[in-house]
Amino acid sequence: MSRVLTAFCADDGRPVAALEAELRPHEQVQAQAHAGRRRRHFILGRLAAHSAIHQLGVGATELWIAADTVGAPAVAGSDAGVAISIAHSGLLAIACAWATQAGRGRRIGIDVERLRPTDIASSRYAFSPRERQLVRATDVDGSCAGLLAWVAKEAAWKAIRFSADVGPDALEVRGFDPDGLTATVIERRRREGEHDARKTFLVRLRVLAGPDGEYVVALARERTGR
Amino acid sequence: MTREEMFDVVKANMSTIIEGARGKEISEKQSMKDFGADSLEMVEVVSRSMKQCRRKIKRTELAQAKNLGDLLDLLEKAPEATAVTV
Repeated sequence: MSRVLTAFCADDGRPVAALEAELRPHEQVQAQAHAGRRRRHFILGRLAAHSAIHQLGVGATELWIAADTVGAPAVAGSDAGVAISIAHSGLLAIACAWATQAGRGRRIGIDVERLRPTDIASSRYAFSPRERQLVRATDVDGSCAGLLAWVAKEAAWKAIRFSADVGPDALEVRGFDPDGLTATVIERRRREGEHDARKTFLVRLRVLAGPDGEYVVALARERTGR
Repeated sequence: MTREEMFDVVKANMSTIIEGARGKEISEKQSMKDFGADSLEMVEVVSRSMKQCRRKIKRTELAQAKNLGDLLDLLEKAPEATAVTV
């Protein structure tokens, strides 16, 4: 099983120019296309990604984070064979990096949300009837269970790298154990141009302390083999 | 509801849910991401706005809204419901 390294970057309130100075030149140009909180998220996400790539032992100075054809972050500038996923919420950015080979890489995605009261568990946009029933059936408080299920689903969505115009109905949470912090998410709609078997993602959830409270992190990995 | 009234609903929900939108001018050309919204915040804003405007938008259509103007187009186009649970 390939190693997946994760790294965090918390917003310490430094001026945006100071944060931006730590980015690669290409990334600085990209960051300037954004403003306000989105710009800070963009920068923190890239810094977290560089930290995760560094932990993999890749010569990170020659790499920068660009965007792939659907706008998802992707490593550019080298043939090092590294893939990444980035997420941010509130004052925290998180990224994961893993080694990959062209055409043979596993699909992995990460998501994070600040733990807070939410009514997403009852949202018909976010969840199918079966998913809402699955969330309701747990012993965990509905607000927390809904948030955990959403983060799991988002991590799988990022792993598939759907384009932005694909909604949450493209995936479905099938297994959900909020006490054990695990979930299983299946692909209901294939990504355009792909004809292989529908994918299943195993999701590990964890709760961690952020600068302004607790955050939930989900790491989704495509299940391979039988 | 008129488009302006629906926009007021959306803006009010954004100000409540998205920290980066509080006290900011919000235009139809902007997206919730411009205010630093995460995916959960965006879903919450949309869900509450549909409920308050008594409109239901299909998930497949909603995913294609690139900015607030697109969201308002969908809300305007959607038939008014007697009761909406989102």
